[in-house]
Amino acid sequence: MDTGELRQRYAGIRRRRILFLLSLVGILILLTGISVTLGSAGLSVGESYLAIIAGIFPGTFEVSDLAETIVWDYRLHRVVFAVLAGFGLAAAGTVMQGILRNPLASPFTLGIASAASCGAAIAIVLGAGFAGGEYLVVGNAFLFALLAACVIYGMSRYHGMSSETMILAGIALMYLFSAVTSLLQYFGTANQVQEVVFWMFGSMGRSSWLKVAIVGTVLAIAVPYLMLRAWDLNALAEGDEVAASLGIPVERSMAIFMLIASLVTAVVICFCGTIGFIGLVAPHITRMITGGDHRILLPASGLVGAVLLLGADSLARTVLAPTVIPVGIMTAFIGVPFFIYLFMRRGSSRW
Amino acid sequence: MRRLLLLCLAICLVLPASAAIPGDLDGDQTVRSDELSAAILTYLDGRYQGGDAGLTQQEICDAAYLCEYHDGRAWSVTDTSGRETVLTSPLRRVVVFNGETIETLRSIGFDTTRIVGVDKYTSEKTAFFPEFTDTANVGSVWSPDYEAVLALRPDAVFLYGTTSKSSCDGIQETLAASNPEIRVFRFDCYIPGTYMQEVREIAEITDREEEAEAFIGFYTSVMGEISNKTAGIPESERPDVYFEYWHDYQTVSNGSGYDEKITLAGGRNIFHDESGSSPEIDPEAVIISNPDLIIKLAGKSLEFGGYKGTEISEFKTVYDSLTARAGWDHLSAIKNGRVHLIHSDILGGAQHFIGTSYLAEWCYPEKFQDLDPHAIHLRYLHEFQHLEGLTPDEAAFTYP
Repeated sequence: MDTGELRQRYAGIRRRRILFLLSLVGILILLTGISVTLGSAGLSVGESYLAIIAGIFPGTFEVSDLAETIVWDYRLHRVVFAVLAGFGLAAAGTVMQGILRNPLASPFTLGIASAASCGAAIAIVLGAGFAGGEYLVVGNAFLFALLAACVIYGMSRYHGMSSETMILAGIALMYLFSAVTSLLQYFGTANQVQEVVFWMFGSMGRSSWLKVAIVGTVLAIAVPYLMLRAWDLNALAEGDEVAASLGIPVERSMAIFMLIASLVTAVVICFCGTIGFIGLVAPHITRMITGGDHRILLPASGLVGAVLLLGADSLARTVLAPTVIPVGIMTAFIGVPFFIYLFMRRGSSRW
Repeated sequence: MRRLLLLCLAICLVLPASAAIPGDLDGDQTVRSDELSAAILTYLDGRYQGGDAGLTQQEICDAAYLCEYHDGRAWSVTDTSGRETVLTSPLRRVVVFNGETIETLRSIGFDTTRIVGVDKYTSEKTAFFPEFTDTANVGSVWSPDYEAVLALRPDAVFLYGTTSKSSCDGIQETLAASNPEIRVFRFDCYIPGTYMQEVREIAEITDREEEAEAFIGFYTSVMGEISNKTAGIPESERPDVYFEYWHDYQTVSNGSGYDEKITLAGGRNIFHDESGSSPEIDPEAVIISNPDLIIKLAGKSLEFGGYKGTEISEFKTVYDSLTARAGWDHLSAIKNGRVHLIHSDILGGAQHFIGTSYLAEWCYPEKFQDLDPHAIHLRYLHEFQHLEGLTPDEAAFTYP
């Protein structure tokens, strides 16, 4: 095999990867296009789109007030939020699995999600928190998620930053925070317990344009930065020694990546509850198809996450309409069979 | 000889099935007054003159009780789980796991000092159950404190009839295994369809039939008037009701107690046919169904209002957030000002008839002009709950 042949092969792989990425973008656009027309109000496809356009360019079309309200105040931000949340959770999961070199690393196994639940439970049951009013639960969930990330970082810092320490620390934290949540549920009233359970189910129904803007801003900063440092991620994924020999400050980079992944996770789940599964499975699904190069893996798995969450939420809204099934349940129903299918087809090899 | 054998066999078959009657000397399953007198004389003789006292003091009391109230015979009661219990003595030390039954016991004038253990939710409701602040707490049906229950040496335990069935079945089995003497009764005491029957059965257990009839009269006068006035109204003329839990966009459907109460009050729940008893609903569906009446169970995990009576101003905040929802200004309920908040303290539980009368008033303001739910509420508290000191503000339960 000469160099020319190799180059050709590599170009082929590259083409396939870019094709995959483009088709993901295509699927996401298509899915978004479909899901903005779905809803119990029974607006026709045309009405839905006219309402969208009329909202952007006021005065261009005559649409009923009602259609515009439904599309803009209820439907559109939910769809956009699902896309952003899915992208963020999947990207964060990819980073965590990459730097920790562990297939089980995700916001869930690292205790970040259960810390967020714990913060929410404290706000719901004790009414205590860092923010007031409407943002009490959200603020608490966010801060506890970050707190968990800091504790993991601190513990592994103290004991040397190996990926095993981080994961063990994360799992230990997960149990601790779950225990606190259970304790609060034990002392809470029946209604408070129900509220906590609802929060943990996860729901896109809590989205709003403000929340879309907040998550969007965080992603707009975090994702380009991660993309810029995709090579460092690749090196770290090969092992600490490899990364160090390539001149990457291992501990500092790991800390920064962990922090960014935690921040993205926290900002998403504090608004929509613990939709954990996306962060674990979207990176795996993508890695099976694209391989481990983070330059492509990161955006692709973000897109897979967005497609999964938006698809799940759209189904959750429509299968039993007007009843909405909790999106966390729907995500697992869609994602797990797909994941297992890919897994079985691929056979056993490196994750 | 053969006849004797048959008789023995018959006695063997009959005896274990029925509980022993205290003071029944001749074995006819009845303690007559002459048997009671003899037993008392023997007891006094033994107690003060020395000798065999025969029955214990407790057994003498039981025998006297049976003579007085049940013609000297055991009596039996069937609870909501369908299980028949034979009683040979009154309830003296009672543990109750559901607050609804405690409330019902109070309604029929049962001596609450005999309730020696209550569930944790009841002991937390100090405003409504002030007499149980120092009563032993036995946990909840989901995490019962068996040691506490057994240490209280109860002779009767009350559990839910159909709610939390597996937990209550478990408690019943465990108690039966540790002390078969404990009589376990299963009643829900909050379901409109079965409540009156349950009141009658609890009254039989506690021998409070007369007081129970008074309470049943009161309850049926309220619920009966509502159903009389709403029964003939055809489906098409009933107001469409959107009912929302304290959790936004969570509604109720077929199978939920709140749905049943909307129907009793003559309303038509727009999400009656959804699956699951409390589904989350697509906000668009509410706008499209354009309900005539919107009712919300007061918000924020019900942390305000009710008998606790705290933060009543929150009602207005929740109300304003409802009317300000995007697109809701199109709804006829909002346009006509037919939006109401109600606290679950008077819509769930044993007080559902108070909440149902509010619902009826909101569904048909003209038909129920003479209905005064707040007066019903106060009469219930003062006359039947014997809470003379409790006169809550109506604003703590409904808005506006």
